[in-house]
Amino acid sequence: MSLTQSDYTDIGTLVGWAMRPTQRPGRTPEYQRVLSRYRSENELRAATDAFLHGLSVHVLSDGDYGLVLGVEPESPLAFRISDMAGITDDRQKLLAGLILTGLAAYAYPSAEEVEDDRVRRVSELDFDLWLRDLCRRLRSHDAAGEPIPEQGLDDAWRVYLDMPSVVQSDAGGKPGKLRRSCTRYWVRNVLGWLNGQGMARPDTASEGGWTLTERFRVHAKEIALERAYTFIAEIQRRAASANGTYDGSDAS
Amino acid sequence: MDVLFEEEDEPAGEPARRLDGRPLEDERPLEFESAGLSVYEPSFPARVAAFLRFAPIIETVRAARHKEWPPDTYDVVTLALAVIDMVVARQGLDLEATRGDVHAAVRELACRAAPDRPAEEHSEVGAFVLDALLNRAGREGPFRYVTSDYAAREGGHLRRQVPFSLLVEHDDASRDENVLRATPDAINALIGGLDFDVEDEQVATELILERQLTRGAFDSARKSAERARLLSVRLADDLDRVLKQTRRDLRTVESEWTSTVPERLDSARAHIRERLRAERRLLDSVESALASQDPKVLTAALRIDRLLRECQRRHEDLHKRVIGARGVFLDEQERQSFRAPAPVDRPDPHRQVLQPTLELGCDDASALTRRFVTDMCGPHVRRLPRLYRLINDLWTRPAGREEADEAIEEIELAEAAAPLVGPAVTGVAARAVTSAGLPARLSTLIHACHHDTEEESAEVRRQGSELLCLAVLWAYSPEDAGDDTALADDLMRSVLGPRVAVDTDGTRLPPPAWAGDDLIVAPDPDTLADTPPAPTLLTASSAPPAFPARVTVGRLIEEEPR
Repeated sequence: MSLTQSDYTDIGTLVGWAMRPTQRPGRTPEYQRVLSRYRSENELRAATDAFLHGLSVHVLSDGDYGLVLGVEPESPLAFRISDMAGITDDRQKLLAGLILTGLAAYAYPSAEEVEDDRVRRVSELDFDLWLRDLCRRLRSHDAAGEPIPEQGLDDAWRVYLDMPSVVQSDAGGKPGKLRRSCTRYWVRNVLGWLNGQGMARPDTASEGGWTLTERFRVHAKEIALERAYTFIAEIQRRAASANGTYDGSDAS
Repeated sequence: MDVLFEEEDEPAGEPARRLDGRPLEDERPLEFESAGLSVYEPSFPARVAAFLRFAPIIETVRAARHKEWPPDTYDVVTLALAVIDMVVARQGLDLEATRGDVHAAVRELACRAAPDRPAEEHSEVGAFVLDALLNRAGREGPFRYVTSDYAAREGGHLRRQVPFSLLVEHDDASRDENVLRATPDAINALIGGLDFDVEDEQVATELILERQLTRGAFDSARKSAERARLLSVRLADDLDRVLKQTRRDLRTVESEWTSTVPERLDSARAHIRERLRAERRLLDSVESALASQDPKVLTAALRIDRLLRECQRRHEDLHKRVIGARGVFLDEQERQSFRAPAPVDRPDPHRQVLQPTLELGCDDASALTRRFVTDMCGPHVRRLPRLYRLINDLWTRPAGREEADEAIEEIELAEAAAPLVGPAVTGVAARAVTSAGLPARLSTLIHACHHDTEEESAEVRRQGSELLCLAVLWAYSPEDAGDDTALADDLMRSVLGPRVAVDTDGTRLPPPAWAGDDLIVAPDPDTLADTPPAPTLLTASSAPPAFPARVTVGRLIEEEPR
């Protein structure tokens, strides 16, 4: 049986809903209907996947949270970090990226935790202190200070550590308002962005508290962590072979 | 008695010789050898680093010379150390020092140093010292100094960086405001200029305290008690960190648990037991001072008594946590270690992704995190502007910063300015718009203002019509009015509505009282294209009393003497 015009309309409707990450099928019968069709009808599913494939997009999950889509970097629909509100320079891009990577590791400290779909709560304050502490430990620091390596001080963690945790405005300012020159501002900014992406919700029970949604876990688990790991492995492999060329030793 | 040095008589006639056999007359300044100089000793860089903790304060002194304060008036070093002391005195307590508290205290000290100078200068000195300690010039980041290490490499040289902060701001969740805290670097620099072991320092502090109490030196004893409390807080913080990490992810502190934590817990337990005993002993000593007739001694004794009781409470609380720590470890081990293993190909988010990412160079880390953000986000549909909306939007002056922008940079809020136009006048103008109904010509609106039945005063009705004219002209062609632009926009919208559109078809207002175009006012741009409304004949009563108002396209009302 070939697909009819109305089937293609449903495919469009489904993809349209999937493009709105804050929408859930449970709240909209129409979304629920087209998602059910996607789950149960192979032909419609294959056509939807093929259409998305053409856009360099693929389905990560079709559960009760809706159709969660992953995007290839070359897709016209790919989100760029510069699209994030408030980011104006490379340093801020790196900072926001580190915070997002840090949030995934904070919420899911181990590979087993990524499998566990229980709700993860993040407090802005605790997360900032945790990531700051992690960066501080990377600094080979003793009473005599820190040796400056040959290649200079270029490590990513320094970007986080160089920025103070909290900066308030001059002359006292309004309490609770953070300046963009502090890491707490960027933690809040990234969590706010995740909120807009349907991946985090403000936790009304606590000040500065957030809940990460299942969508966040799906993205981290199905696509982001794996690719980041591959990227790091590739860099380490390159470094190892470069070291091998020069001194015959392998990178540790 | 031990003889430290034994002198041997030189054999007569023999020229004096060095130990290596060279005669002393050959003595020339020897080249300094590596082994002989302390700069080559491994401990030297640490001495340099310890010394550098004072560098920011010395630099502050130098910077203060460039200020326009009279020379040798304010002792910046004393003020800076006083600030650190003030912060330390309340650190870890319920009411930690805020910037405002400390600033007020330094201002007071500056005032006492130079009572003849203006209060603004005292305030400026306070802010200057505080900002210097917070490193405001470096965006409140750490101070950084590069040092030379001649001991690390044989015959070579290694550069080292010494980063540290003195004061930092923390967000106090319970108070919803920022508090100041002194870093260990500042505390150590203040206490002894050297790094120290928390427990040894505490033992030393309590010994000093006990001695001071027996000597009757209550004021110093109070200071020692304050210091003892601070050290207890640091110990508690250290243990808290391990326990928190254990609950979150045991593996990140697993090595600490297998190596140092049990030992630290044991020694902490012994330490707390010892401290509780010592504090009880000190309390006994203080009790005798509480009976003193000397009000000074009594006040100091009361304060020490309170401090020691608080220390005792803190230690008891810490003791409970220390006792429960091993249980936390076992529970978390059971919860975290004995769960179903993850699929073998799944990377570990902490160890295999975050940790190596942080260690990458900035370029690689940027490339990785850019990709990570793209992967973590679903499809992103960029909003395309609709052409007809776009043109209108381009023509319209932005009403104000959007909410998103507001979140980016905080805006200093001042008290709301008093309204320039009274509510009665605005009421006349707004009622005229409602009663005439848009679209309408300016003449109709002016007429409606002058025939407003709710306003009794003819003067207010006239002011209402002038306001309306101004609002209509503003809507037709807003000008840059500096800080008042937003105010004018708001006023115009409150009178004419949020999407008002104004245009002219060349019809003139009736002379001689009026001059200029009888503008068409529509509720929105779409309605403007409809048939233009009919003008209203303005009577003499609608004209301004003293001189004619000229309504000119592109200009506000120009007034000329009759």
